[in-house]
Amino acid sequence: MAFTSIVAISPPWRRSPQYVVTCRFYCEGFSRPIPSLFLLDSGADTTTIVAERFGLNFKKLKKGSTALTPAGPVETRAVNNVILIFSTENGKTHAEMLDRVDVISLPEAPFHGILGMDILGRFKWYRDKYLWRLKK
Amino acid sequence: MSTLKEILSDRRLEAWIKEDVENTKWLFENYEKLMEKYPRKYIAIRKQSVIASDENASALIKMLKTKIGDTSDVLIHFITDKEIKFLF
Repeated sequence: MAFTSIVAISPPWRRSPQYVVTCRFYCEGFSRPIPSLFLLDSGADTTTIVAERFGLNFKKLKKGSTALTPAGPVETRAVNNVILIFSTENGKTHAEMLDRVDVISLPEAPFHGILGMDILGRFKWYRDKYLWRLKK
Repeated sequence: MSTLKEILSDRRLEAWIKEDVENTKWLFENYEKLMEKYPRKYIAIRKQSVIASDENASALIKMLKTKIGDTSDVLIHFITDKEIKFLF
């Protein structure tokens, strides 16, 4: 069946829309893909995950890069051979791969990671008040 | 390590992701109630209900592995105590 679209939703209780997509995240070292919520962020160059949300020990991960955040530069860690698996509107699955993903330490983050332009740039976007559709 | 082919050919994957989407919808629909009940706690959601909670994510994951073993269909989420503003 043809690829339809991946849908990100905005929590209805938020005063300003903030789009979150459900997916399964897998990287080298994981035994299976983990259920995750990613915030769509067109201002982020790369997809980034939060160590604590995956039970990862941030300090034990390999070094990543220096990233500029609103709070200043941050030294990230990294994980390799990443697969993100999404559900499409026609009930199928769709996978996107990345060689490397940055990891930050952000205890109490209300999401598992940020979906940056390395993934978002592969799609066309259609947005309304509560939904953000990603199409190939 | 599993290969992409192995991961994507897992017959349970489609059902797992459908369940994840249902759990996310339930989470967002009930977020305000969850903020009152589980402020600043990690919760584990399975079949649209909270099965465990803890202030520490690693402790919650460890507890789930002991309690239920297979956590493949469990969504773990941190519940804030108020609406958080993001500066990304």
